[in-house]
Amino acid sequence: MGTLTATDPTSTSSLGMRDMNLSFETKLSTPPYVLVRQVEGESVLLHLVQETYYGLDDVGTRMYLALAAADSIEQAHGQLLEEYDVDPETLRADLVRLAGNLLEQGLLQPSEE
Amino acid sequence: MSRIVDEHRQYLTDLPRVDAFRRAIAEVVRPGDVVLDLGSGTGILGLLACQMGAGRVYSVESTSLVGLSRQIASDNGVADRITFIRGFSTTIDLPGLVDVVLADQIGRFGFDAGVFQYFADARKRFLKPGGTTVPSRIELWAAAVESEELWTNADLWSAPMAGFDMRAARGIAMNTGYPVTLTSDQFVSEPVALASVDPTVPLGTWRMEGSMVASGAGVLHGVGGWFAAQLSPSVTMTNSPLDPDRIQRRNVFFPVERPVQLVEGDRVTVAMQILPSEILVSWKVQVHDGKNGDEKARFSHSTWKGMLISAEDLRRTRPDFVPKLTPRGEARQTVLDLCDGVTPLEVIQDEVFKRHESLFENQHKAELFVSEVVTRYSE
Repeated sequence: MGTLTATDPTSTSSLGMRDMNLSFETKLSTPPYVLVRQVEGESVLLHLVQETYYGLDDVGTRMYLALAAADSIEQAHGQLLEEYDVDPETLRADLVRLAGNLLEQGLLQPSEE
Repeated sequence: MSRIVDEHRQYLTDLPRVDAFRRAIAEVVRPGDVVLDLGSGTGILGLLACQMGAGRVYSVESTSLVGLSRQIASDNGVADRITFIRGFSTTIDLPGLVDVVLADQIGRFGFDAGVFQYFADARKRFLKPGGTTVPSRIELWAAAVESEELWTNADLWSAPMAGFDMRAARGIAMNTGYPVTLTSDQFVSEPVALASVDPTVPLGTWRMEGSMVASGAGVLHGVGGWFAAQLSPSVTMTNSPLDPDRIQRRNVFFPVERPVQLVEGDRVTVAMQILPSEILVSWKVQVHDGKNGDEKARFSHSTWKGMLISAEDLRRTRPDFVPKLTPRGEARQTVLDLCDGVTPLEVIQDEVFKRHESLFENQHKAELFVSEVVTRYSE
């Protein structure tokens, strides 16, 4: 599934959603200091504060966009389930891992909306 | 004439620019001072510093202009006071600290020619405590611009070009800052200072915002940007379209997605986010009705969206990408391996041509290739 790559592409985050006190009801959004650029299905993200570039492959991009646009992580999970032929629990685990990684890197933030 | 020399001809014949630096240097350089000139070009700022009594000038220039400027210094009788160093200031060392750091790497919008990178480094490594930088402060200015011509140039991609659909390029074109010469009659608002920045502060992302009021009926096509640099306590240098003493340097035009009709009193708010190290500018523009405050338009642009990035570029950045040298890369590696402090250039040239003959039409082409690598990576 989606991978997060960056200047410091450590493996999946050790800081999961549970550690950040998030639930599947949480809405996530792109912080104002993060610029996202889609390139032929993939994407590049620039964290303006860290001055660090990140890359997401096509599946990671789709997951990122779903997470950033949906009203909750649960809703993003539902949308992705409709698009991909994947086991729900596998998708859930991948989504949690990617969301945790994105949150840790500051590429997504919990939204109050 | 070399294009680079001709470029410097333009700098030297820009009398408001030369005069501004002359007056500023006269104000800040004291007899005996040690001066650092960054990106020295023909060496004009160092020459002016010598004229004002500088005891020692270090002129740092990354290009072969350093040879020409050395000759010019000699011709003007100051060769013994100017030390020319070829390289980038961020990678060289000096024997001691300096009293004054000079540079005209301000660009068109105050940050885009590297002054902040160079000065932040120079302040940390070269400048004496209490020393002076020229410029000491840079302001970034903006105004609402009406120019159908400038906007149309960015929008041209909307229509077929040469009979083909080229609309894919429009998003890039609309997220580009264009170097242009703006005139005050193109302004549909008073200008506003977005920021005033000490060029020696550490870099980061800047956020700035300014609000302008439409001075009459017109059309908003974009935002114009320029700088005003404080060179010394009493000398300012600017490329402002409003200043009759402006220097001959272009401004920047940032288009908006679609033209907006303005009436007198409408408020145009520009929020910019700038990352100087990447020369990246994001501009958000909002237009509000001057009477009832209703939002008339809102746009969000960024040169980030205007960059040319391909899937091939991304592929090379992945951690699992396994890079492999191209034939030219292998030839370059041969040159570097042979730069061992023992092998003379003629042997390197022969060896490179022999090992990579299929790459070069003749021996001369191989020699040029070797020279390029050696010039860049050896001493």
